[in-house]
Amino acid sequence: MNRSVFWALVRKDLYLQRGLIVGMLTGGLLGLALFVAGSVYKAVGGAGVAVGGILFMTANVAGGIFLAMFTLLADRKELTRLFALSLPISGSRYAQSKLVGGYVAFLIPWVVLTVLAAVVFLPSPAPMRGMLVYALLIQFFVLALFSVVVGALFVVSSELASGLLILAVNILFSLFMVAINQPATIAPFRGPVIHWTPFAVWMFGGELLVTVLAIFFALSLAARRRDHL
Amino acid sequence: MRTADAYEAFALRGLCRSFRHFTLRDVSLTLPLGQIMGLVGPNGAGKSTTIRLLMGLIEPDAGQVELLGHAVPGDVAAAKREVAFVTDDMRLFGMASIAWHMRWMASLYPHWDQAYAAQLLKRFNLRGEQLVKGLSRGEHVKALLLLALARRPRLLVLDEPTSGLDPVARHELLAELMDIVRDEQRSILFSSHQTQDVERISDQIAFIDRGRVVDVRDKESFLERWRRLSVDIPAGARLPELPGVVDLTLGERLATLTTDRYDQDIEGRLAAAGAQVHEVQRMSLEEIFVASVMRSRQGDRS
Amino acid sequence: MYTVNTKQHSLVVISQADPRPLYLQVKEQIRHRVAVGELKAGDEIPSIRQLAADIRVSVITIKRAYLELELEGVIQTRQGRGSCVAENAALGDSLKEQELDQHLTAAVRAAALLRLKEEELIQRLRRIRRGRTEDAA
Repeated sequence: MNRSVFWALVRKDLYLQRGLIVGMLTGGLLGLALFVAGSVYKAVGGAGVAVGGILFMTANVAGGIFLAMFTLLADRKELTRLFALSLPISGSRYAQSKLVGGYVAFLIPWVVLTVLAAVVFLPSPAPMRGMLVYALLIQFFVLALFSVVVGALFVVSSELASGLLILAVNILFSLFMVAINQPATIAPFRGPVIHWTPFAVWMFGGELLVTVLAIFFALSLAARRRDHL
Repeated sequence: MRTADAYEAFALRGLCRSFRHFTLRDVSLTLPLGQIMGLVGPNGAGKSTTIRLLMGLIEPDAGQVELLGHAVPGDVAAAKREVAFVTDDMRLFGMASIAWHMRWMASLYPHWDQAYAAQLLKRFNLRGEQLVKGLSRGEHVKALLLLALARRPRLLVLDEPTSGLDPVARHELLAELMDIVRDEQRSILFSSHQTQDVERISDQIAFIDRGRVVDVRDKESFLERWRRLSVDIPAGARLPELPGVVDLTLGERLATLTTDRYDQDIEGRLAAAGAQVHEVQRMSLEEIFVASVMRSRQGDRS
Repeated sequence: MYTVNTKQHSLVVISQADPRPLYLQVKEQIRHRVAVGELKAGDEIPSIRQLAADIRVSVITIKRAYLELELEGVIQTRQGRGSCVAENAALGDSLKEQELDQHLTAAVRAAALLRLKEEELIQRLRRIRRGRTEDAA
């Protein structure tokens, strides 16, 4: 019974966040479309590539932040937490369901967009096939940021904390973009060969590590909580 | 897994829990199956904290909690299958409709009674297609109660269930609550400021103040033991020592005596001392509660 | 205008505005119904829990009322078969006598508070009786 209430809560969260999920997916797809159009049609050109790229990344980052916050915090803010906790489920399983719900809600659009972003660079002839690595690094950085936000929201929930988190995410992402767009760093990707540079390997490994650590952190907090309110 | 074959609706033993600005001390309450317990106490007394400890929403620093024979928090999910819990600060999912919630409950609770739910919908004057965010406070409370009642719980735990309800809705809620105890296996715990309602339908009553249980006993005992006496004391006469005197107000010739240990004997002893009992008043539950709390607070001070 | 309700009259109707305690109201109403013959010997009355739910009064209060009614011989409870009015032909009268005794006890008490002597009390009783007979005539 614990299990079915668990998944019922996850499904409920997905149902309630369906607007955001669709929004993130749409924004990302639009961005990708513009990017491709800009690369293929001279008429759209550089502007299309730039705007498309920005739209794509914004959809991912914003989608991540909002999904994390709405899934984890909405219950507390709107006092539906008490209602959820009145169901036949233990407090720690409830906390876990928020974690799973948040991740599933984010991963649905994220996986689609990540696969598409990688695939966009694949068709031959592909003068920019190396950019596949670039795209993956960006996407997994967003995933790592999402995981950190979710983990942080397990600890803090005030409006101030949420505001600071949004700020931190924006700063970190901007710094990351500056770093990855350094001429020396990005050069190896601007070619037909898929090239996992040392930078790429370390960065990718770091992103995965942060993601996994953040998940473990959140899970252990969920298990050890004394007060579920 | 239940801990024993014979069990109570709930058992709280020696619960202690401290917060930054408030401490709950040594709270012990039990309720046999088939009975209704009313919890009365001022705001901030610890009623909601006690209820949250009972439901496993917060953990005690010391003491044990048993809910329908299940240990809390270890087995709390199993216990909550048969418990319906409603508080006045609980909210349903705003973006969904009442009907959505009803379908959701039906899928989570095997004892969901759809026919009864439909009846309650009519009785409470609600419509299934209403979105929760569009409900007034009173309608929202009624929706919560509908969802709680229709799953036929063995224990109903209510924290201020009638707050926000108009008198008609309150009247209907009391009828539904009393309907529950037609079955001698079903029990109710509710906290309320409406002492008239508590006085009417409770079998057991507990007074809570400043984190402690001030008094707990069955309702009839409360109402039979407490009296207010108006006594004429002629010049020269002196009041004898009487047990259980909670309050004594002395005028020039009249005294008003409040006692929690009334029996016929008292009047005899007063007469023997030359005092004349002019009136013996029963006390309402609210009056008993206030007098009880005043005494307990004076005890704290001394 | 009001509509006349000819459905089954509720066994007991209580009021929290009434100064008498709830268990007493329940008792007296049942006794009154037996006294006037609306409830006859052997008639079934609702079980404790049923009545409690019907009139929305705690089970413990109904239990007390039923217990005292049983001790007074007004009703009897058979294990597993609910409660019914006791088999006692003279019940109606004896109930009325019990009620009379209650009223007289209250009168004696009130007289004591007024410090009336027994003779004064009896005189007052006679005066009231005379007044009633004159009104009736």
